[in-house]
Amino acid sequence: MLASLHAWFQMAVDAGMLPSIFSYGFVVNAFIACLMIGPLLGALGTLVVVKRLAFLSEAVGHSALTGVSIGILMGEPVTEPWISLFAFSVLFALTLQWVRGRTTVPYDALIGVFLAFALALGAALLMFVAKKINAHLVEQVLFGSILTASIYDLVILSVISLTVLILAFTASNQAFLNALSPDIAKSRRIRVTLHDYGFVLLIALITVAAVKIIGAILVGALLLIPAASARLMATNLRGMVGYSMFIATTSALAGVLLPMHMKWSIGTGPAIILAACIWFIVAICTYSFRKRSTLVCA
Amino acid sequence: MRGPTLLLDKVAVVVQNNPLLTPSSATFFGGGWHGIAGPNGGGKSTLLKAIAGLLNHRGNISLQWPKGKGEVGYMPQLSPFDASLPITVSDFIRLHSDKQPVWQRYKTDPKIEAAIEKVSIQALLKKRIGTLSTGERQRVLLACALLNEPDMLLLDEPMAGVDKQGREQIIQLLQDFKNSGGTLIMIEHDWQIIQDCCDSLAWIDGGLKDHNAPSVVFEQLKSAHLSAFPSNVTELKHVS
Repeated sequence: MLASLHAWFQMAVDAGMLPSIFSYGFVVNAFIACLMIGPLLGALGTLVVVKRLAFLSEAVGHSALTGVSIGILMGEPVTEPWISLFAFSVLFALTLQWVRGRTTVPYDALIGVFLAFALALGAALLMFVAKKINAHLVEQVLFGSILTASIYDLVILSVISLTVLILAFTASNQAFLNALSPDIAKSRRIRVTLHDYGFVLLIALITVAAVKIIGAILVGALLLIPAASARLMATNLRGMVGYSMFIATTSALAGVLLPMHMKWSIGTGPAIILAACIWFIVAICTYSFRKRSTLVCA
Repeated sequence: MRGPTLLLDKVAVVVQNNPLLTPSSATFFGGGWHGIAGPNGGGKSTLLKAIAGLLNHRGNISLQWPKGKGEVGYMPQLSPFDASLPITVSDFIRLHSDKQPVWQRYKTDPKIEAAIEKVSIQALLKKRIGTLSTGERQRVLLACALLNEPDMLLLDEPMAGVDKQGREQIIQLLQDFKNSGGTLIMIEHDWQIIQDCCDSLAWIDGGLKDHNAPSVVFEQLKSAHLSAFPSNVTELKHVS
């Protein structure tokens, strides 16, 4: 199926409908990956913002760094250390949630501890990893790369996208209500503990699935910046979800395709996040302009 | 509608070895309007949360439904919402219904429309939930509690922070709910409202100290010369 997609893109390039960069298979892979990563991170990001858990996504992102390092050290393929990456990040997220339910430490402080742990362990292991593999590959892990999106990545992203789509139709109202007022959610017999665990699990899965494109250091930012921008621009929840998905998707596409097209030698992760930051500036301007207009009208 | 009878059998709540509510037993008959009052920190909200299933408890809490199991609506104590979040009143109400995801364009839902009309909050629908006044927020929370056509309402200070006109409106709504057969369990500080509206009053101070008709509970409290209790009826609401 992927081969026929590549062939279709090649035809479009030959017909002059698409730029020549789409004749490279890895660009097509990254393009398709971004079409899934963007809406996923954008949609889940709104829940992150409503729940005020910006640092959670950062912590899980940094745990991916440790997961990659463990995988490489244990002999997994350098570009696809899936087992350790998923295992460590999921374990990390679930442990965080489990500890949260059993201590009185505020959630933000707990996330801070876990974030520091993930970063410290990842950085420590990276020293050993750097001796084993090319330093350029370490850079890919940290900041993402357009070259690494493979058929396996696309399959994993498709499965996660389908899962999130089903959950968006069946449980999004419950998830938002739980985020806004856990007491009301609980009184309506919504299984809040299941929702909380499901939320951190999804964050971990999506973060891990996106880490190869965006990189471990910056993957959390694409959960946060589009949703934070959407919060400034939207007038209702539907608008916030829509804007966030749009901003995340366009940022991901711009970050992947623009450096390739313009022949800039920057990592996809930084390029994606810089594009998202431009959206954030647009959002601040929109918000300020709207606020000023309201004041003038008043 | 036929509201259930609520039975409490030695209900106690202990959180981290700290007893918030000592074993208490009582029966709140179906179709009645029952008040819960007591001093601050006495365990009123704890009891209501235990009844709503929000807190683990010891003993038994059971509902006797006259015509099969129905719905219970819960209105929590007033809590602030983040005013900067773009979540409108309409969004917040829609979150209480599983019929249609909130991120889709709203298609008219008769249940939501009925609840909005009942509480008269049409003018608030596009406002952000965090920017509402106290009284407006209470009405929105009440609309949410009424959304799934409950047979029983659990209300934690529904009149807190509401002005006189708003109170009269809420009282009328609750009176209508009672008249249609629903059971009401309500935490309330205002003695006048308790006396005017409630069929029974449970006095909670670390546990259930008294449960009777409001006037009887008041007389007993007065005669017991509780130190925290005022000699003047009108002062009660300021103490509790």
